[in-house]
Amino acid sequence: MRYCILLSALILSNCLRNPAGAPVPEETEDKSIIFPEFYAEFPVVVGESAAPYEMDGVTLRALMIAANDYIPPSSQPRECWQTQEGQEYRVIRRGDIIFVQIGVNLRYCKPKFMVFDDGMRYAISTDGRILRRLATGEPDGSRLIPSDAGVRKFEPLSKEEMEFILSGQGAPSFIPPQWQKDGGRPASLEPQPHPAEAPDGGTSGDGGSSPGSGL
Amino acid sequence: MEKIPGPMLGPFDSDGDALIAACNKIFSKPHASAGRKDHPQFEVRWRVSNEYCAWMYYTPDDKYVISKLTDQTHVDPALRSKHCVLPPNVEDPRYPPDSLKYIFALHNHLYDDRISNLDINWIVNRGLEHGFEAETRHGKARLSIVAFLANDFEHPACDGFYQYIPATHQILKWTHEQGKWECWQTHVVAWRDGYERFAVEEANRPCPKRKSP
Repeated sequence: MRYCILLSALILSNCLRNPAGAPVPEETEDKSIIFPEFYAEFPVVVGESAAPYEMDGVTLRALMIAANDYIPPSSQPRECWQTQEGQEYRVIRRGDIIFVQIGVNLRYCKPKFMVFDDGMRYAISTDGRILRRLATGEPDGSRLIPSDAGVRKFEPLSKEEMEFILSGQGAPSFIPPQWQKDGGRPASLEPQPHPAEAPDGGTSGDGGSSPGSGL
Repeated sequence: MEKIPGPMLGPFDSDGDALIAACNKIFSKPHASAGRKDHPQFEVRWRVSNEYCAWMYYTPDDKYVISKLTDQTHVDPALRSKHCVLPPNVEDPRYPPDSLKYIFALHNHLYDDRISNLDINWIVNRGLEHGFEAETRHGKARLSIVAFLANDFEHPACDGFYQYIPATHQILKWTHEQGKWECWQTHVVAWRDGYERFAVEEANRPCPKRKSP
């Protein structure tokens, strides 16, 4: 059975005193595991329907293991994007492996700065072991290079054509009302208040580095 | 820090010239590319490589400018990777902050890898803040996120880039040969649930060259 669930703010910090999925050293990970594409389809979203959602304990445990591995529970104050509740969780189960993707939930947090290519994927066995971790952008072991995937004729552009396409004028534009400043931004897109994001809140020494030095 | 200082490169008369200058600048920095995925040492190279990032913005005197680069990184909690941290705003002391228009968020990918799903969320959130379109003397410029790529680990050069344009929902891949650039659309981003959630669908085709009716 395959299912994909998006869970926001589901995993509770400190709920595991002794997580079953103790991190495994990287060298023991199973690098033959191929991760599914988490964004090839739309997720089923918890809370968007009045219908109940059911999750077995094995899946819940896998989620908790991934969440606690990615951001270990701590009583130290953190910025929203560095908390478990500040992440989104996508789950795909395939046979005996539960795949989990974790990345910051920008509908919940509004960080002062943002990290490109943030996030982590996990493959977790139904008996609660982390089989493989893969950071966003981390090589998955595939040697396939997109540009090598097929042979086609090179079609050069003139400088004018290049600049036309670069500026986004090469295709019809559609900016939905939800993306327009005065277009009725949905409430769920408004960042939720987070105590650590008060002007002087948060810590920079708790897992992240402060941005800034121009090179 | 909420602002990144500018300028580093520019001014330029065109976004294309500014983009290529930024690409060359990033790949002149140490360890900006892990090279090709099919190299035997690729994974080791990936671990020692760095992301850099910057903004391209448009000034009141109709120029394209590249902000300073930052190599400030966030190391993920599992210590597996490090990613560039780009402040949401540019501070160029020559201009009032509100007069700057944000065109491209720039960074390098460590190998030939498309715009990540989290980068899609990132640039949409920047668009909510800065707007998805800006008027320029060349017409509308639509906010994009760009990921540069270089295929050579030891002597990286600007071999191409991926571009996601939220306003057109396209992911494009740009490469060049003998001084000429080519553009290929690789994916489109389909949105649902009030434009809050998306799926990335394969949609291979040449980039349209002419303005759509």
